Amino acid sequence: MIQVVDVTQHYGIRPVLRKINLTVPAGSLAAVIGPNGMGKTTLLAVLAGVLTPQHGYVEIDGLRRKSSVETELAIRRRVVYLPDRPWLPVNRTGREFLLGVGRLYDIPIERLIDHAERLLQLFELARQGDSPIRTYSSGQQKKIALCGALVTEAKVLLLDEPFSGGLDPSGILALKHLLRWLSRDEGGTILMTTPVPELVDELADRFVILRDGQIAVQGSLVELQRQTECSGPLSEVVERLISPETLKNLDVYFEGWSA
Amino acid sequence: MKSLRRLQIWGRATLPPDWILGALALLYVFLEVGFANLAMNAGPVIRPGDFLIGVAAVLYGLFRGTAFHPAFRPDYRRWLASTPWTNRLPLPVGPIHLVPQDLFVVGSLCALAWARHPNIPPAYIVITFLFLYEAMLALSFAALKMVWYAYGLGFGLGLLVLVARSPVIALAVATALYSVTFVGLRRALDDFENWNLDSFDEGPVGMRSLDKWAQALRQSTLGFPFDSIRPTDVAASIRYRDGLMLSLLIGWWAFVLIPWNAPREGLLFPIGLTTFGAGFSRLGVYIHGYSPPISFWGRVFTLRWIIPGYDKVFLAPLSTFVLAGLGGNLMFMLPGPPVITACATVTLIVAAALNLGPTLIAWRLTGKHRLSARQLMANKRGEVQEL
Repeated sequence: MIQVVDVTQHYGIRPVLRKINLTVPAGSLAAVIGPNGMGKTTLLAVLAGVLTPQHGYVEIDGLRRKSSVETELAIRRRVVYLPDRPWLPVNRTGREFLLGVGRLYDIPIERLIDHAERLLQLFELARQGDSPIRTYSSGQQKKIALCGALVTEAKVLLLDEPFSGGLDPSGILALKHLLRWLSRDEGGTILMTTPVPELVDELADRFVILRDGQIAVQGSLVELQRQTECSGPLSEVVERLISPETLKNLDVYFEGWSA
Repeated sequence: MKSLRRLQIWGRATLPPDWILGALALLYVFLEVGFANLAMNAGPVIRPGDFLIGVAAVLYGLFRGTAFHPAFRPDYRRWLASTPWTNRLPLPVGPIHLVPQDLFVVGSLCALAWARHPNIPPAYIVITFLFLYEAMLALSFAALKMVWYAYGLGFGLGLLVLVARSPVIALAVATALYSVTFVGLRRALDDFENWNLDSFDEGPVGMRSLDKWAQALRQSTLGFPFDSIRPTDVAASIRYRDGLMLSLLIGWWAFVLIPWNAPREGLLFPIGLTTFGAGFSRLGVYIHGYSPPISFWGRVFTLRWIIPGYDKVFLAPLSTFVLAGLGGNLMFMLPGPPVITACATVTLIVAAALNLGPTLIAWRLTGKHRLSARQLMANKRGEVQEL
C-alpha cells in the first residue's frame, strides 16, 4: 500500500504540490492524471525518494520513507521507480542492462535470465537484445527502460508516463496487459502518471486528478463521475475538472457560428 | 663456466627478467664511464651511479613485494586457486618471503656501494630494499582485510623513516618489521582459499592505469535511477575503527615527514592542506548529485534558512576548518615543539572528516536532499544517455 500524508513540495517559492493526501491500496493500479506542469512528475519523485517533501511524509507498506537506513533499504527492495526520461547505459546491451538491474534486486540468476528473455520477446526486442542500447530507436529505448523496471519483480511500481516516449501500439498493448496482470493477479501496487486519460480509463481502478499541485478529485471512475456530476467517460470527467473554462469558451465559440 | 650457470639458475628464483638486469647493468656502466670522463678533475660529488644503485634497491624491493604475490596478480591468483596448491607447498612462480637469493642480490648492491660509491652507505641499500618490500606487503594485508598487520606496518615504516639517520637502529626496526611481515604473510597464504580481492582488482592499485579504473567504474553503471536508488551497494562506508586508525596513521606520517625544528608559520601549510583536502573531499563526495531540497531563494523567502535534514552535511567539513583554526592558534600559544601540535591537529582534522556523522550510507538513504540525475550522471558521460 502507498500512503501519502499531507505532502507539500516546492523547489523555490511556488509550491508544486500542496497538501497531497493519497492512499493506493495494495493490489490496485492508480493513475495520476493532469495536464503538464501540474505536479505529476514531482509527486512520483517524492514517492520514489528522489525528492524530499517540505511537509508531510510517504509510507510504503507501512514503512515511512527516509525514516531510517533499514526501512529505506526495505522500501527500496520492494519499490521500483521509472522516471519519464531515465538515463540508460548506452554501451551495454539490452540484455546486460536487464541482468544488471535484476541482480540489484537479488533475483535468482536462472529466473532472471528467463524473465529477461521473456520480457525482450514481449516487447519485440529479442533481436536487439544483444546489441548496445545506443543502437536502439527512442521507442525501443523506452521499452528497454520499462523492461528494466519490470525485471526487478518489485511489488510496488512507480511509473512516470510509461506510455510516452515513442512507445508503439504493440508496446502499449503489452504494457497495458502486463500492468493489469501485475496488479490484479500478482497483488502488485502500481502508481503511474499520464496526461492522456484515454490510455488508462480501462486499465486503472483508481484515478487521481491533479490540478495546480492539488488533488482535485480521486477515486474510482464511478466515484469521479458522481463527484463531478458527469456520467461520461474518464476523458470527459477530466475535461470538466481541469479545463472548465476551455469547455465554456468552446460553447461560446460554436454558439457564435450557429447564430 | 658451469658454476656461473648454476649460480644463474639459483638466482633465477627471485631475479627480475634478464632484460631489466641487462639494461640496468648497461646503464650503470654507461653512467660510470661517462661520469669518469666528465669529472676527471672535479671534486667528490654525488655520482650518477650512486643514484642508480638507490634506484636498483627501490626497484628490487617493489619487485620482491609484488612480482610473486598472488594478491597483486589476478590471473596468477585465479590459476593458483584452480590448482591443489596449499601453503605447505612452495609458490609455483617464486617465493614471496625473503630467501638467500635476496641476500645475494642486496649483498651485491651493498658490495658495489662499498667498493665504488662511498656516498651510499651499504646499510641504506638494505633499509631501502626492506622499506619498499614491507610497504608492498602492507598494501597486500590492507587488501586482504588483515588490517592490524597493515596498520602495524604503516606505523612501523614511519618509525623506520624516523630513525633512518641511525643505520643500526633503522636496520633493527626494518628487521623487526620483517618478522611482522613474515608472520602476516604466512597467515595470509594459509587463508588463501578465502581471499576476496575482486574490489582490489578493480581499484586503482590493482589496475594497471587510472584510465582502466575509470573505464571499469563507468562500465558498471546502470544509469538513472538504478545507480542512485538501488537496494544494495548504496555506498561504501568506512568503519569508525578504520577512520580513527587512518587519521592516526596520517598524523604519525606527518610527524615523521615534517622536520622537528620546522618554524610555526611553515606548519600552517600541512594543516591547511589537510583541511582543504579532507574537508572539501568529504563535502564533494556527499553533496555531488544530492542537492538541497529547495533552492537558495526558496530558503530565503520561505524563512527556512536552516534545513537540519540537509544542512547536517556541512557539519563535518566545517568542523575540519574549526579544528584547523584551533590547532593553528594553539600551535602559537603552547610552549614546546609546535610540530606535535600541528600533527595532532592533522590527526583530528582527518578523524573529523572520516568519522563525523552522518555516515555516507545514512546520508544517501535518509538525508533530506533532492537527487539531481544530471549531476549524478555527469561523470559517466559517454556511457549513459538521457532518454
